[in-house]
Amino acid sequence: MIVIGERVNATRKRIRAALEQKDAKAIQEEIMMQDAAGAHYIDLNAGSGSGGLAQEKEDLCWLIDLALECTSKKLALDAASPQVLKYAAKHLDGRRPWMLNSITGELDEASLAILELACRHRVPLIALAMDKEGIPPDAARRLAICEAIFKEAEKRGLAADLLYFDPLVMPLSTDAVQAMVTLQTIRGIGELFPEARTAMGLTNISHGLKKRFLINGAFLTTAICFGLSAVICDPTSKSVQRAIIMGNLLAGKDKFCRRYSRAVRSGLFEKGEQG
Amino acid sequence: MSKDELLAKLEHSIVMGHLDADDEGFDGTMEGTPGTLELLEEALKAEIEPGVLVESFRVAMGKVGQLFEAEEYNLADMLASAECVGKAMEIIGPALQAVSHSTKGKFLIATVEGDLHDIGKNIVATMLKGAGYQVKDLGIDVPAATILQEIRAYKPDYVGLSALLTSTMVEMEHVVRLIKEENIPGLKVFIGGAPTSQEFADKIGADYYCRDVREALDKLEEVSKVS
Repeated sequence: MIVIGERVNATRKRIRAALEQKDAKAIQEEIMMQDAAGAHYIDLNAGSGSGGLAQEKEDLCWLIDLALECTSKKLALDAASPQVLKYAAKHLDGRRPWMLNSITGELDEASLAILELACRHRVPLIALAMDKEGIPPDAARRLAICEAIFKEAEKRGLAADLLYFDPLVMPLSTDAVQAMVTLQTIRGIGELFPEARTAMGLTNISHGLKKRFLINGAFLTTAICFGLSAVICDPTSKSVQRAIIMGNLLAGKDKFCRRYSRAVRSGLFEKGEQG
Repeated sequence: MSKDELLAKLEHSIVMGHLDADDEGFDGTMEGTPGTLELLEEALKAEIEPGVLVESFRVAMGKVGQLFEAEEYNLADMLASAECVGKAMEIIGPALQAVSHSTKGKFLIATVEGDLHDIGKNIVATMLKGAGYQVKDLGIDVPAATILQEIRAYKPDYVGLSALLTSTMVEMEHVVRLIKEENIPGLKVFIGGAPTSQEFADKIGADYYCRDVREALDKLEEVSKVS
C-alpha cells in the first residue's frame, strides 16, 4: 500500500500562508511529520488559485528545494498545468524519484502534454477517471474513461505499471451509493488492467457528515480489500494508519499478521479515537 | 563467524520467525539480513552436525513457547517460527535419517471421519514438525480403516486425533477403540479439539488429552522423556 501524503497543498490555508510569507519552517514541518508517519511520497502542490502560472512555478520549485533538504521520500509533483509540471521536473532534475499528479480522461492538450512528460521521464502518473462531462456517477462509465486513457498511454509508450488510475471519490452525503461506485471502479480497473495501479483521494467520501474519521477509515480498509494500490491522504491521521493496517490484514497482505501485531504493540489502537 | 556464533544466530532467526532474507521478521527490521535458510546453508557448509542443529531448533522453539505463554507472541508469531524450523527440517531431513538418535519419534495425525475441520490439526502438525518430530498428516475426514492401515504401515510412536463436532466425538471413540485393539506396544494416542476434554479422553481410553498446541507439545515432551 503506497501512501501519498497530501498535506503540502496550497488549497490549505496554512500552506497558502506559508507560501506567501516564504515560511520554510512551516512547510518543512508539514513534510517531516508526513515522512515520520510513513508516507512513501510527499505531494507538493503550489496552486493556490491566485498569482498565476509564473508564481506557481516559482512556488513549486521552492517546495521541491525544501523537500529535498528535509526528507528522503519520493515526491509527487501536483499541478494542473503542464508548463508548471515541466518547469518543476526540470528543476528537480532527477535528484529524487518522483511522480506526476495528474491528468484527466479528457485527454485535452494539457493532459496529453503531462502524459508526454511522464513518458519521457518514465515516472508514475495519476490519471483521473473523469472527462469533459465531469465525473460519471457510475462505475461502468468511469471504467470506459480509464480504458481511453490506458490506450492513449499505451500508444505513447508509458509502461502500464506507471499508470495510477484515480477511481474518484464522491461524498456519500449527496449520493448514498458512491462508496460502492468507487469500490467497483477499483475492482474493475484491477480486472481490466491488471498491471496498472490505483490511487484515490480519501476524505471526500465523508464530506458533509459527522465523525468523518470513522467513515474514512472504514472506506480505506474496504478499498484496500478491493485492490487499491495507493492512497492520497494525511498519513499522520491515526484513523488512516489504523485503516491501512486493517486493510492489509484483511486483504491477505500481512504475512503472519505481523504488521497488525506490531501496530497493536505500538499502541496504535489504544490512544484516542479521533483523527 | 565461529560455529557457536553461527548457531546463536540461527537460533535467533528462528525465534524471530525470520525465514529468509526476504522476510521482515517478528520486529519488522530483518529484511535483507540472512534468515534461517541462509544461516542453515552456512551451518551445513561449516559442517555442523545435523544433530547439533536440531538441538538448536529445539532450544529456539522452547524460547518461542515461553514467549507465547508470556503472551508476547501470538499464534501467528509462533507459526512463523515453526515454519522456519519446518523448512529447515526439510533441508536437513535426509542427513538426519542417517543419525537416527536425533529424531524424536513419528507422529501420525488426522481429523476423524465425518469432520472437515483442519485448522487446529494443522497448527499442531506444523508445531510438532517445528519441534523436531516426524509428522505424517492424513488430512481431514479420515476413515478409521485408513488410520489403522497407516498405523501398520508408518509405525508411528504417537497418534493424534482431532474432532471439532460433538457428533464426530463418537467416531473418535470408535477409532481409539480400534487402535487399542491392535495392542501395539508403546503407541500412545493423543486427542484434541474443542468439544473434547480430559474426562472424555479417560472415558474412551485415549492416553492423552491436549487442550491446545502448547499442551500437546508439553505432554509429548514428557512422554518422550519417559520412554
